[in-house]
Amino acid sequence: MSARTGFRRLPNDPLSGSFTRIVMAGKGPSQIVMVGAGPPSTSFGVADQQRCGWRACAHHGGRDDPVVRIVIAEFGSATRDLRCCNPPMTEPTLLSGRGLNLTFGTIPALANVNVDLWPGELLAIVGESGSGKTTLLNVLSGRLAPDSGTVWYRDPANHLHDVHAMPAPALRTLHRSDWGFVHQDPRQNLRMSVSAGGNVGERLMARGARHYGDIRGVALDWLSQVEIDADRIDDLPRTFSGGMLQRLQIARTLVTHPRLVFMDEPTGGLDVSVQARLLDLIRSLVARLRIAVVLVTHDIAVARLLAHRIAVMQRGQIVETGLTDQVLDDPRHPYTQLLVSSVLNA
Amino acid sequence: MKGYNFAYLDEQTKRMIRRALLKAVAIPGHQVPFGSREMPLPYGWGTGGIQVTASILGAADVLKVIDQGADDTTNAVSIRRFFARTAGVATTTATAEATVIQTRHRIPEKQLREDQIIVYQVPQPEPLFRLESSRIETKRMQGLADYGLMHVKLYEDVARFGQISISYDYPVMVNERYLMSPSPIPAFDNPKMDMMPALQLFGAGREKRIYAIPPWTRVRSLDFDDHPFRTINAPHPCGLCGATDSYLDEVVTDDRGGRLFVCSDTDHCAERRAAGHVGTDGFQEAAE
Repeated sequence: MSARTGFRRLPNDPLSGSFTRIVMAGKGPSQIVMVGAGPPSTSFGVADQQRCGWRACAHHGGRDDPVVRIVIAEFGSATRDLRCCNPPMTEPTLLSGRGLNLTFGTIPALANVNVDLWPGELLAIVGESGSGKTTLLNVLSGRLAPDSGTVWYRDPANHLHDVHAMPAPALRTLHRSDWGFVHQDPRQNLRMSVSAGGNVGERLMARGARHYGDIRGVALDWLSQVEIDADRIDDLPRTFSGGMLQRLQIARTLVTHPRLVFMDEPTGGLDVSVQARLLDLIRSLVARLRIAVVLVTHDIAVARLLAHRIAVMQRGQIVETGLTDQVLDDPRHPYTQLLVSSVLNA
Repeated sequence: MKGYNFAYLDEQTKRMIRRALLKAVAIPGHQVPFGSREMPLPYGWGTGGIQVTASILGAADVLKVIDQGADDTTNAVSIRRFFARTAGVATTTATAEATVIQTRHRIPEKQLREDQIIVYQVPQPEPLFRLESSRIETKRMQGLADYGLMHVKLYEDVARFGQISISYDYPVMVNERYLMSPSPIPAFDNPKMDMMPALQLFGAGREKRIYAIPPWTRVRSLDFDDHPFRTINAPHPCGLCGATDSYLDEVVTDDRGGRLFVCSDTDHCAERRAAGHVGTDGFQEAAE
């Protein structure tokens, strides 16, 4: 049975901010399952499917339920383009890649790639090794110039910037204030000979903070946010475990409250329990600070847990894109189907 | 003198260095690369300073050379003698009489004038050198005025020692644009660089860099708002001349814990003693 899944935040939200997950099954009588609305799972019948979407009427415990009615009404429009669901895409995009091409010798690393990222959205780029995920991340973040194509970034004042045409000082300023980059290996980003507090404070000082007490206060606050003991503030990162290093890197990156963070395999190389805690941390921080994230991962489970939307890459092309659950539950492209079916269920 | 060009260097080399100097003066604090020549003394003994001095020296100049504040230490004596032989210029130990002062590790206590030039010998021109190992990266940081890293070093000092513990080669911001190493002068001398009437030139021979501070330029020592820059000096008066406002050297006088604090600037000390100032150890020194 093929199923479609969508996320939708309701207008006049009766669910007080929670997201409603809707699963619609294929033909014939099927069910809508709501997660997060009152009882964890509520079932009700659905009527016919029409060509341009789903027309549904709801019966909940035998009576007309206002919540469900809204869900159904919303769902009708949501299904037309399941990609455009959460967060609401009424706002203009934060970052857009258009027609990106890049070849390394004869190898096409990127082939006509188009990407959009909305404010507050977490986009996962998945695919196998060598499919161009990290290259795309580097091109989007301005660290690597494409052969052709443009990356647009919208600043807080609503001005569009061509990232690769920006002067180097402006791009650097962007990278140390509005943007952040989380590497797979935290040692690439952290200064190993500088204490944890100094690592967290560096971006603040680069931005012009000149009050030691304030910088230390913010560093302490951020260490507690990423669950590192306050008395470790003056310890060198080389005395930290792998998971702590990664959390320290996240604190160092988020301390300036960036609007956009690029993450390259942030959980790679960590054991499963540490990974789970880190994912939890990233998810809560990103949601609370409303940071848009481009996340590169080869781990479908990470994408499933964190991402609102997913883009599947193969040989430098985005072969499929859509809502995470939509793509993972109902993969259309043969490669995505292969990718999803290769995941071991633990 | 026969067989030598004036002031040792050939004219083409001096032109090249003067061009670098002009560029350095035009961009205060910016490190200008130059083709450093081999000099008849080892790297680290002042090859950069000596090339700058040779390029700006004229026949009418009066040269003073200081090493750690003193006019009578090996380095100062040999460089002074070198230019006396190769350029035939007059030399002096009196700060006020000199027109060109080449120095290592100190700025004279006496306020310099607009008609004087001070040349610093610099071992390491890049202030970010110990913090960022890549020279390409430090150049980029200088170009983009990305100096957060220098403050990270200051932060680390305060976190570990409760204060900024840099006692020499204390990083400065020149004209609110370029981060600059003032060469290994004590932090005590940093305030003298600010709005100095004399032209300040810096030469690093091994690192092949020249930089400069034009007269009357703002030079600010880096600090935190709540940990302001402060000078460090031994809490004693000079044992010989009784001066309380000059930078002091600590001299071990015996193997029973005997100490003598004396002015590091020998000319300043001698001048004060000639004027009748006497410190607590002054008579004893005179008797020996």
